[in-house]
Amino acid sequence: MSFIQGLRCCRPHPVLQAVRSQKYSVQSDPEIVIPKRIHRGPTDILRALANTVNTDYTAPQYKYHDDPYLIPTSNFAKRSYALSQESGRKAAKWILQEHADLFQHRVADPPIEVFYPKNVYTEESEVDLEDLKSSIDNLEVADSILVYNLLKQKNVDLPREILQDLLELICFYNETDKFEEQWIEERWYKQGMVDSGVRRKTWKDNNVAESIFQSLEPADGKSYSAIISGMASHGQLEVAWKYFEQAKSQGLTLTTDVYNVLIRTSNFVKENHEARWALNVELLGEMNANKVQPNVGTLNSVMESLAGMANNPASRETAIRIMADFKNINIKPSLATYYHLLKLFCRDKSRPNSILADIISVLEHQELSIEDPKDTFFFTHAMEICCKQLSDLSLADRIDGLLHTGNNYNLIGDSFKESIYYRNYFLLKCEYETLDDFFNFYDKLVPNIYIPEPLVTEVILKAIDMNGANHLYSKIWSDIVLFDQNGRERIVNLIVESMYKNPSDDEKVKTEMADIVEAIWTKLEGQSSDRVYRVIEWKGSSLGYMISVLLNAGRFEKACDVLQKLDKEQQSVLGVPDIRSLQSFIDACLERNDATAALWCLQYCYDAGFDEINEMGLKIHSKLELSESQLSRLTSIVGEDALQKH
Amino acid sequence: MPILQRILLTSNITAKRTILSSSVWLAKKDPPEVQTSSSSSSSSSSSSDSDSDEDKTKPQKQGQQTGTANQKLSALLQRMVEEEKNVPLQEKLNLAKPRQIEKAKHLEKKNEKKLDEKLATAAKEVAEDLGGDVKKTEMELLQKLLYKNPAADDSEKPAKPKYDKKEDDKPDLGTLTLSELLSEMKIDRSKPKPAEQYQSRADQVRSMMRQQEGSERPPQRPRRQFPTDRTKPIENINLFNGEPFGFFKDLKADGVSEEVKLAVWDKCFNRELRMAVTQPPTNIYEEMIQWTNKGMLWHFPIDNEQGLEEEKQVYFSEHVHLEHHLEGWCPDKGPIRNFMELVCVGLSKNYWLTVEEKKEHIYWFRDFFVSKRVMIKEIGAGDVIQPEA
Repeated sequence: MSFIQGLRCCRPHPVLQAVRSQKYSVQSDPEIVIPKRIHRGPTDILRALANTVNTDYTAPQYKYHDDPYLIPTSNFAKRSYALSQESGRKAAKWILQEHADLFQHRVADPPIEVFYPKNVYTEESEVDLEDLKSSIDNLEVADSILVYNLLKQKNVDLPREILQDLLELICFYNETDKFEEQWIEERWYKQGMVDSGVRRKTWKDNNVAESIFQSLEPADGKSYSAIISGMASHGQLEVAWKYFEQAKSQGLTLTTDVYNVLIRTSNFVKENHEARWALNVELLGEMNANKVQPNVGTLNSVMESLAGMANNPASRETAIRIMADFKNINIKPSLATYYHLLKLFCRDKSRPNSILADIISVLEHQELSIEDPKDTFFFTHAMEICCKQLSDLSLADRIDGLLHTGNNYNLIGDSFKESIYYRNYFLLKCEYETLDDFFNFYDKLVPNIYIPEPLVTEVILKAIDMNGANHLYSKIWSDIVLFDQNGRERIVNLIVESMYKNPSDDEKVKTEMADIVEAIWTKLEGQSSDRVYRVIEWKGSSLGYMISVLLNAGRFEKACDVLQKLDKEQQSVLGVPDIRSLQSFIDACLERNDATAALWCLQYCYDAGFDEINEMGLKIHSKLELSESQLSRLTSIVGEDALQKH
Repeated sequence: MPILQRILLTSNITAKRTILSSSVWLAKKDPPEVQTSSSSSSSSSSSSDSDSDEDKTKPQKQGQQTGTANQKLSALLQRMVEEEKNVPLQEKLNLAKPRQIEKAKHLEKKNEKKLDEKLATAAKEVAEDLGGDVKKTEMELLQKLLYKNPAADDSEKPAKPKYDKKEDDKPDLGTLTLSELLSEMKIDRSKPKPAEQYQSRADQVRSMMRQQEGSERPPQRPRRQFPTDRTKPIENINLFNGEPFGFFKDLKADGVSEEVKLAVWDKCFNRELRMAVTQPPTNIYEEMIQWTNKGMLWHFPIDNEQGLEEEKQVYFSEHVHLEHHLEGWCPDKGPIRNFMELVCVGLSKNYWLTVEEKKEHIYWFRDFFVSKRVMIKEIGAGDVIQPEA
């Protein structure tokens, strides 16, 4: 009671006071401002909803069926499941296309274009200008060329704009059909765009594009731009430069793309660094003189050209100055720019430098969008440098943070790049994190986001070995089995040896380790001899380690099996085990008063030529009650002298 | 005596580590030197198969010069027998050999360099154990060791340091001990000799295991580079504060008015860009976004007249009020009128048909009734008027 009274007599709360005083101010300002309507696109609601869904690291990726039998557990399974699903879609599409006559009904109103079979044009088709327009509009390269040829046969007069559009389309795709946008998985698993320095000439000489270009008399800046860009980006540099000179002599204005592609390929045109750079300077100067507005593609082209000249120490200075030039005309670098800069500045043998850290400081917390096809190379390359050159874990974490900002993850590229990215991240984490922290990280990403490659597994095993963390063996082994790596010789040998080196006193761990050994044993015994690919050869040392681990857990019978293998199949087993393993086997025999097994092991030691048989023989002799025949066998193995000493 | 043990221990360790290196040297050296060293070396017993084979072939040529002929002969015989026995057994081993030797050699070259350091630490430990003027003893030991080392015959390198060390302890231990030591050393050295002639399987295995231990290290080497790299100072490069060349002096204005653009080219380029960042959806909403973009899904917010462009042209009253289509032909009252009004009500509620279809429906009845005009009039159901064509 007294407490409440105390409350009553104290001063009114400051917030309350503020509210009270506001009562008067509300009256003075009665106008309500209605906010303007924000127009929403058709996907805005979906986007907002999608943002509320967090990544569930414990669940398989969305594209897989959420059914324990259908959750992929290896990289191979991931790939084949995803592609099978897509191949089902493809099959449906194929049937739709092949039997278009069966799907005459109107499934939806308004009609859904993508569910309709594609128009098929043949040599006999009756076509008109509209067909050509629509196939150009749908970017159907082969169809457009076919329709164009049909129209030409019928002597239809084609307007210049349509011819120009057709020329651009053919030049861009170099007469090959485009890749269907709907096959997302196939694109994701395709070995991506490879950033090869030297590109082959793929341009088809004397193709339709060239004949269209010839027919566009007189050629203007647009037609020149199309043919030069097409040729240069498909490796026909010689003719491209010829046309470029022609266009210049006629005083035509060309597109920025023309300059970009010419700068990008300048390394293939000129021999030495000075000439290449001089050519770039010339092209940039022409852009300035002809008032061609450079764009981010221009910057990236210059950087790519410079990255190709990374041997030249002057390139670095040049790159920094070029950055300043483009900054002056308000062109912001894209990820591809940084990718080329990293290639220029962070080479294998160069001193580690602050470039990557600087770049990440600039980009951090930004939502990035794609501006250049090579933007997708950045994250993988940055992580690789971070791992291999800088070994900077905190920087790697910052890169990962940037990758997971907003929709930046889309810029990871494809599955191949993604796995390289994570491989390097894992290696770095494994090297510099404590084992516990590393395994927290591991549990988060494995297996749904990333499945370690055998190489990474080996590194993890070595880390466990180094830390003597023997409680983790069962965990890592179950993952190894899950990822189908238990048939790999290096991994199997590594884990067996590591378990031998890190024995445990804990009964549970001992059993776990023995279970692993038994699993390995069953797996390797089960491998059929006619398999050619990835057959594991038994190694004497590994078998010895297995014996020790089994004995440590008190599994004498299993250890006998292993020794049996060693003894009976000396031809196929490579080398012999460590003597300590055999000694521990004999000790186990002594504990069990099993003279037969002890003598058997001793015989094996003798066959294998170990020097230690004498003392082992003595031990057996002194500790065990031997029958007459056993004694004579022992004598025959070690000789009478050895026993006499005792 | 503990000091002695200590020295023996440390020297044993060093000897173990140099075992392989000595075998490598043996293989390289000229035959006479090989002869002396293999008889004095305490370590060649553990050299690998192929190496020891080489060792043994060479002694044969020089047999008469140094060793007793008998010994050599027996060694040869022994080896022949052994070879016969081993060849089928060890085929796999031999196949794998060359690579392993390479690695071992590589590794040992590294260890070789470290030998001096190890000797130095061993000397230091010994000096500390001895007490007294630690620094001085250590200096003396080191002086002896490091001075003798380069002068010593290469092939004797692994044996020599041990020998020297014993000598160094001379002032403390007295002459007697020294001779004892020396004799001990001799016994030590002679021990592996028989083993050299007959290489037991255990020896082969030991040497193999050593090689394996060695071969495990090279794969780690790339990772070991990290620390060395880290020690290098990080170079600071200021990426964003360069001095411009001034290429675009005339372009400072925002954009150029008459820019040449290729519409289709840009469309293709943007399509490629879009495809590069379109990734498998990670949840249903993302998938729905992709479907929406492909035109497979209703646009949000849901509007059930979406995409019905044709129908948008028609006002709703035309769908609902259909009676005026009866004007001009239908009787004003009677069963026909009744029926047709019901048809109109039905049609006005039908949302599947377009206005045109509804009209057609009505006109079909009109034509039907008109064709039955006479009969209808006869039964007194009203007068259907023939519309003007």
